[in-house]
Order: sequence, then C-alpha cells, then structure tokens
Amino acid sequence: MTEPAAQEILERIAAAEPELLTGVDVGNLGDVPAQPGRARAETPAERIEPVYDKAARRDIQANIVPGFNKDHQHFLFLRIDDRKQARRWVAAISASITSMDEALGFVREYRARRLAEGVRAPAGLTATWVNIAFSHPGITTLAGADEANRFGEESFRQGLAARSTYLGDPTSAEHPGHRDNWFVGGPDNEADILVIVAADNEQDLTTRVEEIRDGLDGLDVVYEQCAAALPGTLAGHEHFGFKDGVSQPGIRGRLSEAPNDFITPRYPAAPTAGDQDKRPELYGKPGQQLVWPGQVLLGEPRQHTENLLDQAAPPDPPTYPVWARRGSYLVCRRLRQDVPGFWDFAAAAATRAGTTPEHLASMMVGRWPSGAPLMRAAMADEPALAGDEFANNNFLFDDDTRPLPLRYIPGYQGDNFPRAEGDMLGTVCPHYAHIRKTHPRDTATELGKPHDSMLRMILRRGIAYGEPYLGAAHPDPDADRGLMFLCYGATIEDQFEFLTRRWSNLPNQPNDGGHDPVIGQRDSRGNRERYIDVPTADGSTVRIIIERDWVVQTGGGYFFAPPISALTTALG
Amino acid sequence: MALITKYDTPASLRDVPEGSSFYDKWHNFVNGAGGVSAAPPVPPWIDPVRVDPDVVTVRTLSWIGFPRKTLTVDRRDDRAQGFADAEDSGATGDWRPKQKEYFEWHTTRDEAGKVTKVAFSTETPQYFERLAEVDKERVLELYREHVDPNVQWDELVNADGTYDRHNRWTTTDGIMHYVNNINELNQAIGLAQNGANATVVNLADRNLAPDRDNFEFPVIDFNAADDYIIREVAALCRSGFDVTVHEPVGLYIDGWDDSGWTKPDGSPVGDYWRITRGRPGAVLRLEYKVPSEEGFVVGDILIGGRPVLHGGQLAEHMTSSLPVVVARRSS
Repeated sequence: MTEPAAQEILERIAAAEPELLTGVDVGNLGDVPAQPGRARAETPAERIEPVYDKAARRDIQANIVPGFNKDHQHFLFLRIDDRKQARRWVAAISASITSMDEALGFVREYRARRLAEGVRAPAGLTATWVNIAFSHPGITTLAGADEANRFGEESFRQGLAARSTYLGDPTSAEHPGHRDNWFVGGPDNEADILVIVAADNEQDLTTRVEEIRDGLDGLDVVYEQCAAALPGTLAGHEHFGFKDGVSQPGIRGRLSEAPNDFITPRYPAAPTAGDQDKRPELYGKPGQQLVWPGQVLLGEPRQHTENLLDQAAPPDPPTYPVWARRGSYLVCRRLRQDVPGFWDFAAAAATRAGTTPEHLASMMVGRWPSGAPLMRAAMADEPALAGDEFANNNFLFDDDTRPLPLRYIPGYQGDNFPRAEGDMLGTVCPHYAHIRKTHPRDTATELGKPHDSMLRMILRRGIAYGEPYLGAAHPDPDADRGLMFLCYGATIEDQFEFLTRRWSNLPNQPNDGGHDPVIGQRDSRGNRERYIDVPTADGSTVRIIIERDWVVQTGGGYFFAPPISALTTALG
Repeated sequence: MALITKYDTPASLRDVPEGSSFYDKWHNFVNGAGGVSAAPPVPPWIDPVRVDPDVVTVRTLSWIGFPRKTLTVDRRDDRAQGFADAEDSGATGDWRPKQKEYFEWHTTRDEAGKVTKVAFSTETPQYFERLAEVDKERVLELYREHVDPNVQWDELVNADGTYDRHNRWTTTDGIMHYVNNINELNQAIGLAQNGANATVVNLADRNLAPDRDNFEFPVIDFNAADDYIIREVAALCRSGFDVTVHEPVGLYIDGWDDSGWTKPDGSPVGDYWRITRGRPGAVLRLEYKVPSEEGFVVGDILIGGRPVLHGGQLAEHMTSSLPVVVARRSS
C-alpha cells in the first residue's frame, strides 16, 4: 500500500471529473463546415501532399492510421506450426483485417459526435476491428528468407530480444525485466504473428477473439493479453493516473483533391503573406506537428532532414520488399507498472523538493493527471485545459508560445487559457519530464535543429492492461498491471530505439537534467541507478536518485504490419 | 572586474611548466583575432575578459560525436555504409573530411582487419602549433606517449621546420588532434556569438524581425553541432539571459554510453575507456581498448547485437561539448 499522502492523491485522481468541449462542430469528414467568406485557403505544402484514394486506404491497416483507439483490445501472439496451413490462414483472415478506409469514417464520426455532445464515448457507435503484424522469423517462414531479408531495417531483422539491453533493459537474468523472463518475445518464446483485436464493448471483443482463436490453422498461441481502458472517468489514463496519448503527430496526406480533405484536419488559419511564422503550415491542431506519411508508411514521401515543411523521396532503391509498401513497423512492449512504487517515490521526492506529490509526479510526466500540460498550468491541474484539444497541446518549451489564429470552428470559444512562457532552464516543465524528453518540440537537440526531431516521431497506440489500482476499493499492490505499448514507424532504429536509448535513457539528452523517470531505463554493468534534477522554489535543483524500477518490461516484439494486399500474395 | 583575466588552456592542461610563454600565446590566441573577444562585445554576448557577469548556471552544450550529415542525410537508409564512409581520409589521404562535429577519431586494426583500438580527440592543431613554437621536445613526447613510441620529430614538421598539422601521426597513422579545418575552437565560439547576436538581427534576412523560436530560425548546416550551438545560445538570449564562454574554454568529449555493449560471451562489457588527455568533466582525449587479459579485442564486441567494424559505431554513442556560462541580463 502506498504512503498516506500518495494514497490521498490517487483517490483524488480517481474521483476527478473531466471537463470536455461541447457544442463544437467539426463536421463528420474532418473538415469544418464551409462558411461563406470563411473558407480556408490551402498552403503550398498542403497542395502537394499525396492523395490516398479508396484503393490505397483499403490497403493500409487501420491501427497505423487513424489508429484503433478502442477501449477493449486483445493481443494474440502466435507461432507458426505449419507453413502451408498458416499461409492459408493468413489469406483467409485478410478479409477480416480492418483498413484505414473503414476506420477513418468511423473515427471521424465518433470524434464529431464527441465534440458536439461533450461526451467521451458517443452512444450507439460501435465497431470491432482486427489488424495483423509479422515478425522477421514469421515472414521468413511464410515468404522465405530472401523476401524477409529484403527488409533493410536491421533492428527488425534482429528482433526485440536481441536489442533488449541496448534499450536499457536489465542485463541480469535475476531481474524480472530480463528478456529471459518475458511472457512473450524472449529468446525462446518469440511470436511470429501478432493479431490485434479491438472493440468498443467487451462482449464484442470476446466473441471476435473466440472466433479467431477457434479458426487458427497451422498456428499455436504463444501468449495472449487482454487489455482495456481504465473504467469510468479514468478512461484514456494509464495506471499511474495520467492521461495518455494526448500528443501525437499528424500524418500529412489527402483523401481526395477536394479542398481541405486531409487525413489530418488542419485548424490553423492560413498564413499571412510575408509572415515568417511557420506554425500554420506545421500544425494540424495547435501543437500537433505534421509529418510526411513516409515517416510511418514504407515507400511514401517522408520528412525532409533539413526543412520543416518539405518532403523527401522514399528510399531508392527500396529498403523493403516491393509488396511491403505502405506497411509499417510495429514495436510492442508489455510494460508492467508498479503504481504504489511510482507514487511512493513521488511522495518521498516531493518532501525533499518542497512541493506536493501530485506536482512532483506531474513534473515527472510533464502533464497533470488530467492531461493539462505544466507549460500552461504550472502549479495546479486544469481539467478544462486538458479537455480542450485545440489548447492542451499548444505549447513550446524554449520560447514563449504566441497566439495561433485558428480557422472558423463553429461552437469553439477559443483558447483562452494562459499561454506557455519560454522555459529554457526547465524550471516549469523540467528537462527530465517524460513529454519533454521524448518530444522536445522546438528545442534544439544533440542532433541539431528541431527539424531532426520530426524524423523521430512515432504513432503510439498503447492501452492499459490488468486490474486498475486507481479507483479500486482494495487494490492488490502486486497485481500484474501496466501498459501494452505499441507504436508504428517507418524505421525502428531511428524512431523508437532512438527515442528510448538516446533521449529517455540518457540524463543529458536532449537536455541536461536527468533520466526520463517514467519509461527511462538504464543498465550500466548491472547498475540501474538513474536520477532527476528537480527544480525547487528558490531556483536551485535537488538531485533525487531513482533506484527502483516502476516500469518493467515483460514481453513484446518487433513486427511489421504489412499492407492488406500482401496477406493474399507474399504472406498467404 | 572581469570573469576571466587570462584564458586557461583546455582542461587546464600543463604540458609545459607554469610561467612558460606558451600560456601567453594560448591566451592571446583565444583572446585575439577570431577568438572569444574578436567581435565587439555586444550584449547579450559577454566578453568575459571585460565583464564579470551575474552567473545563473553553466550549461553544457553537447551534441552527437558521429557526423549527423553522414548518419542522417547521406546514409539515411544505409547506416552500415555511413560508418565506413566516416573513415574517409579525403582525396589527399591526410584528413578526415566526414568528421565534422568537433570530434574526430582514429581506428586501429590488427592484421586481420579487426578493430583493436579507437582513439577520440577534441584537441585543436592550434594548440600544438603554439606548443611546438615553445617546446618541440614536449610535442614529440606527447606524440610518443599517446600515438606511437616510434614517432620522429622530422615526421611532425613541414620542410621549413614548422609544425605540420597534417602529419602522418595525426592523420593516416593515428590521431593527436583535429585535422578537419571545420573543427575549430574559434568556429564553435563564433557560432555561440552569432546565436547571441541573432537576438537583435534576423540571420536569414535583415529586413525581417529577429526569429522568435527555433522553428523560424534559419538552418545553418547539415551538422548537428553548428545548428545546436547557435540555436541553443539564441534561445537562451531570447529568454533574457546573457551568455559567454566557460573556463577553461575548450571543446570536450562529454559523454560515452556503452550500455547494451556485450562481450563475445554475451555479458556486459567492462569499463574499457581511458581518459588520456584532460580530466573527468573536461576530457580531451579518450581511448577505447580491451585489456589483453580479457582475451578479445574491440572488434569482437557487439553493440546491440552488431559487431564493431568501424570506430564510428562507438562515436555514435558519444557526445562532444562546449560549456557556456548563462548569466542574468546586464543592464
């Protein structure tokens, strides 16, 4: 059980009511309704974004774009027992794989109703979706070694277990996080195939999972994991109590040639001629950086290394098999969370730093439990800010965040929250804060300009698993609960592994101030000690050592989520 | 009063006895043309020889040791080739054109081509040129101590007897200091000064207002260091701080991360790093070599499961740095 001070905060977080936008009309196609005289002019960069027509959208798996984002998910980790039967099964299940085309319409309607009705989950709108991904050994078995070895991504070919200690995982086999102890994905229990099933209600999920399990042919279940959003008002929060997934990059690309018909809607007003402000072309929603689709989908135009807004050609020659175009690498990490351990640390550290446990923990994350960013709410949580998706991500770290004029959004009252002020020294949102470490925004980094940071962005698709601690009357402090971390990207090494090894795990990158205290790992010859330099009221910092692991890796794998067409050609 | 009365050598090295004229030469170099005090002391850049600032903190500006251009731009899709490219010695064979991050290294291999040692340096040729003017013997001693015991003086000098900064023992056959002309202490300090000055002028177009954030700030180069130094100082100055160099002024090896590196038996590597010039916190030369009693060499080590074929694979996990002083804005 946690210390009394921490326990009080957990109860407060569990009881907090979110404040959501309501009465806002964003239409059901991602665009705002056309208003006479209020049409938004497209920018030059937007006009040349690639069009993903219906055929392309039906080929891309939905959990990549737009993402499942469903409250109930189930993960089936499979091992191929018989190649021929498994190929037949892959071909058969291809018809059940949910595409970007199918999900996008649903997601847009869901979001429009959510903003209009002021609810988190609109009533009566449900779907059950399935996606699939393959490990390198899995592709080797199904398509042959020649095809599998056309993947130039060396980390994918090696697999997660081989890269584990490189990511800071424990080197001692005595540690529960050592790869030898993983539920799945260790040296002896790697999965060939990962099937992700997602539904809006638990019964639909159970039914679909049973159907898939019963239909397996030539495949064995290595491991399976059920996952669900935390209940009630905590939905969307991870087990420590913090709203998760608030900030995601927006993917550039159009659905048609029609004006403003984008995969990621654009809300800033068009830039004024001659203005050097790049933000109207950089953002979808305020603060949501737009990246070219090739950062996620193989073979598509990708982010330029030197220019914020420009595209770069995909690899030539391709660094993947021809059939893999528009697929994406998927990293899965099963992360066990020690909720009492996290909050006990926060309570003890708060005493040393002269602040409250809630503030100390929020400085570890960079946001308050509601999701409100410290950069805009320095000393107390602000649920209304957290609930305003046009404001909760609108901040820089280094410089003052200037107002960003938005296009006309019917029903939206505007972003009237205090603006973020530059925090170069990390006194408001410390340099070690999870959101500052993993997404440094405008900050220059050890790779130079912030343009380079856009090459590192990933699409996160995680969901909580295990019995909740928060809100439970008598939670078992030792229960297995945590996060199924999933992310998609066009490389593993330059995106997920870069973020983990360089920024989360090093105390001085992208800025000096400590390790990422949420997901940062460190194992130097068996020493797992980390630290954070906590800012205090008098302007100094106090160094607090982290000796305990409250996030422990317990499984996962490196996979590739192919285009759906490949399931009936190369793989099935 | 001033913050600095006389510039010290990098890492406060004492290669010759105190009182030697070498130390005046070094001060004059840093303080003179192209040095810290060359540009007019326009706030928010402070000339520490003339001003004693109200120091808030010391900030270590640090960046990746391996060249970003090679890793991210030229070989974005072929990292392994990038590591090989970084060992390029140029058309004349006597410099390291790819190693542009104020960080250079030399890889030593055995007869089978396996890597046995990698030596890293952030020292400048200007230092050795001035040292040679004062004490040739000492320069020779340093080469024999750090590079090869067989080095001869006539191998280190030009036909006119002056120190040859491109001599074989700091190019093809070893490393004592930088040989890429872009890796200059003055260049790094100049970038910091330009960053401070950018607070009052727009670097890209003087008809425009100064840049308001790092997204607006113009792109300087493909390198990590240049864009990082200038942006970080500019951002500090936009935030209301003054900035200047930190004594002892120098470019340093700031960090090295060998987590996830394994011996041939799969266990974590030991601490095989050796600081051979400078000191902890101000490292100028670092060597990586496996002690003979271990029974294997650097080329047998796996980094994240991949064999070390090039010194650049180590450099990717290292950072170099320029410490600066952050001060309250002077009135």
